[in-house]
Amino acid sequence: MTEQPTPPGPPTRPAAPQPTTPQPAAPQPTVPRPAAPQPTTSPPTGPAAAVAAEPPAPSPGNEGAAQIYDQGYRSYDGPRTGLAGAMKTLVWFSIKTALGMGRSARYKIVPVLMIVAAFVPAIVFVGIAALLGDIGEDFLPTYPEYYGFIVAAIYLFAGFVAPELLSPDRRTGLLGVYLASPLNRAWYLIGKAIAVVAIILIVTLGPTLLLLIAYSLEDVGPDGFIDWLSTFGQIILSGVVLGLLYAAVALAVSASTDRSMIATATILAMFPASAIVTDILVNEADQTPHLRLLNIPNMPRDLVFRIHDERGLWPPFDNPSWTLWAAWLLWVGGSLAFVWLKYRRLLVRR
Amino acid sequence: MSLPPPPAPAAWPPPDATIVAYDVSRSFGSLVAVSSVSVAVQPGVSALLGPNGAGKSTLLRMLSGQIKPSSGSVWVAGGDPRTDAEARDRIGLVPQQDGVFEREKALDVVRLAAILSQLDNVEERARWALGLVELDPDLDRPVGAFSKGMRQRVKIAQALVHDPVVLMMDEPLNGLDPRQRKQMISLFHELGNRGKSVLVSSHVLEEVERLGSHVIVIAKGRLAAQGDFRAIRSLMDNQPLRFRVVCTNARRVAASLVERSAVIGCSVASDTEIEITTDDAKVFRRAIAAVCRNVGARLEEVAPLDEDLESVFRYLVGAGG
Amino acid sequence: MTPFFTLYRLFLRNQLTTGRLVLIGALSAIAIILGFATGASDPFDPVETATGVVWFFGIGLMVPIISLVLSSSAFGDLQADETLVYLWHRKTPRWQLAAAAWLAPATIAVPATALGLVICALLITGFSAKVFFGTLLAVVVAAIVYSAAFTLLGLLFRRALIIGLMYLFIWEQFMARAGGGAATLSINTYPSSVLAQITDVELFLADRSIAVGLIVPIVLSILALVATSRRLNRMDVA
Repeated sequence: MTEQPTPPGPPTRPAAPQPTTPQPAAPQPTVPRPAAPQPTTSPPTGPAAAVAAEPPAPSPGNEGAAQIYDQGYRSYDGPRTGLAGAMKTLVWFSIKTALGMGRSARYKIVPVLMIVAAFVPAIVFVGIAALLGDIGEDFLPTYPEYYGFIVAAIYLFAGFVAPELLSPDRRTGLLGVYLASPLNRAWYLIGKAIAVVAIILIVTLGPTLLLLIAYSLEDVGPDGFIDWLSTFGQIILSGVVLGLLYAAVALAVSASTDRSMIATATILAMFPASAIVTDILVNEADQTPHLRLLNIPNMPRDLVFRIHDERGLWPPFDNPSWTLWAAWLLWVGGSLAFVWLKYRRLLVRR
Repeated sequence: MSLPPPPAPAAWPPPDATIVAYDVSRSFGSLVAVSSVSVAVQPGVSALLGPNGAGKSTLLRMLSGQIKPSSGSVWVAGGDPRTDAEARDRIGLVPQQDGVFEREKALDVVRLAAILSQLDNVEERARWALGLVELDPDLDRPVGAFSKGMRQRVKIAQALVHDPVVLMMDEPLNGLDPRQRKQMISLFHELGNRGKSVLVSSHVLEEVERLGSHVIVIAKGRLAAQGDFRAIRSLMDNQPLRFRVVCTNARRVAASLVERSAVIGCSVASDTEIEITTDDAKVFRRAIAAVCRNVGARLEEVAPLDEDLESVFRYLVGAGG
Repeated sequence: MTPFFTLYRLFLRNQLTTGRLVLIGALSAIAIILGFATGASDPFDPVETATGVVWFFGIGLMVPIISLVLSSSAFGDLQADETLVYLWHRKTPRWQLAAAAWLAPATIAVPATALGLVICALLITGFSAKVFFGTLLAVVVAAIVYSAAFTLLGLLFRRALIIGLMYLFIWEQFMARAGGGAATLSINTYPSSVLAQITDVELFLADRSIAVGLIVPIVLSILALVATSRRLNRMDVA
């Protein structure tokens, strides 16, 4: 409600009181209110005006001299961390978001459940190994076999994490804020990809490493240091191979829609659908076994068997290892390229 | 200022009340949206007034049966609207949200309402209801392509189609232009005069001023005031109000102002700005222009420092709760 | 026009969006391609192969996914655009609202899945009465019971789509197949049993009699309908 100056009144004015000395009762403070700092809009020019960054300590001799406390804007004098700092923040913030750290309990449910689902079988097998010792060895799964128990948890995890990290940034305009920092689109995507892969590695790498350590302590692990080291290498490679593929595919789906629920649903449906359709085509319709390379959940799993020199899901004469490696490269490369294409063309609004 | 004491059980609710809520509360998790509110609404137009977030919508949703009170009871036109379908059918409801069936035409939306209320002459009733809100029933556009004001009128038409005894409308004047607003308000009055109980929520004081004399003021989830609008308003007017005056020659204006009886406090913030406290806003507003003229100052702005709604309700809540 | 039919028609109209039609078209096309490719491979026992394909792809994937996408949106869409209150607040009984929300997506899901899957099966066997009727009946039973369950899910949860997928792929495809009694608690078991019984082909864990295969889905659908009505009566509607 703002009142404009009123138009001139009627000619007969009421007798206006002459400005005289104020009544003694009337308050007439003239000192600027201390509670309301006056932001300056233009640099001070008069010699009496002074701009102080901080209110000076009240001194008796200060009375009468004007002070303007500039609290409207403070320049930043701290260190500027540049690209490295921005990347570190982006990756760490993304990981925290996806794991529900610093968020309310309902954002913690899915990550906690998935991580528990991935580790619980490992803990059970460690228990069996501890109880039965050598006899138990026949009951224990090999490292590649272990993924059979947790593959669903892994791709569910990918299905929740990747959309959560990509889609909302586009919908809410946060992407524009990121791009106003030293990050450009490529670095932004690299940061997000690092975060997604890092999180998925928790479930593709964590449980098998746990098994290795526990088996070793129970003396059912690899014999000798060389053997142990090579098993360790195989486990790391396996986890990375699985994690990278699932992460890349999930990122590609997430890049295609702003609605994370649709992205998650698509990922959750795509993994089993690709397995069912390719299984039928190869096993029932006698089509070329190379169609198995389109089986998103199982293709990298078979690769893991080969990394460990074990008999896998598919016969090597049908699916030579090099075709699996080539398909893996194509899946990962193709998915990441798709993400890049989507983002390169994306119109970012702020 | 003080509110009347809680009504004695014998006199409450009034015999002709059509909407009665007794001691209703509703919380969402740890947030208490409405707390121990008892209201009775009689035929005629009543306004539910309160700032955004005060709990108006929650209260209205409890009254219409949309949500269940955490405690307390609701009775509307013969029954509990949550469980009694016939009682519910005596309510015409205009919900707050914008969404109406986007892909349907206006006539189809109102027809749907008529069919679901199991009316006989669906087509006729639907056209009649659209006529009441002055919408062309033969508009060949889906509601999704309507302006906000037109959607609002479709929502009102579907609420009127079954000629309910009670009308509950959550911010129905939102998005209407001044002419439509005036039209709607006169429609509400007409309905009120015909014996319907029309309950309209709003956060706009001016709107409520024109809506009706009976208001229910809710603030911070509690009943802050209830009764005749003008009476409440004048109770509020006795509260001191602060204004910011921007003018040239502020000191002389200030000196002159303090002599006025309406002004009870005055402080000069700068050469061009004064803050005054008044116990009679109307007299002050009349006086300020004259004072400026007399001392030869140019008046640029008079703005209330705390007459925004939040503050108005603070007075009410301060006195009532 | 009766209130029920009006509601049914409204739900039906809301169901048809481009995305859903594309999904139906794509899955139907895959079904026909699978049928064509499998038929061309000259299988040793066409009836067994056809039954396996319909079971694995149709009852295991296509029918539940299409039913889920359609049915979970019946109330889901109304809640998302906040128009449920316009239907809910009228005096028309809530069970009619629940029934309309169940039947409308089922009306689309039944032909949308049966057509592709019956063609798929017949491309493998040529005309075979037991494959034709087995596929048809199993798909209809599956579409109806999944629609009822997922309509309820759509009323209960905003993220019904994801919860439904997790049920399908974690419970039905993963846990329930671990054996034991878990399969009893899987909707999939019953239409699969109908298919297995009529085509006389043994399917994994689909070992119930045809009566059980029919009655349990009917009972489940009615229970879901009752639960949906009750939920409508008790819920808060914005």
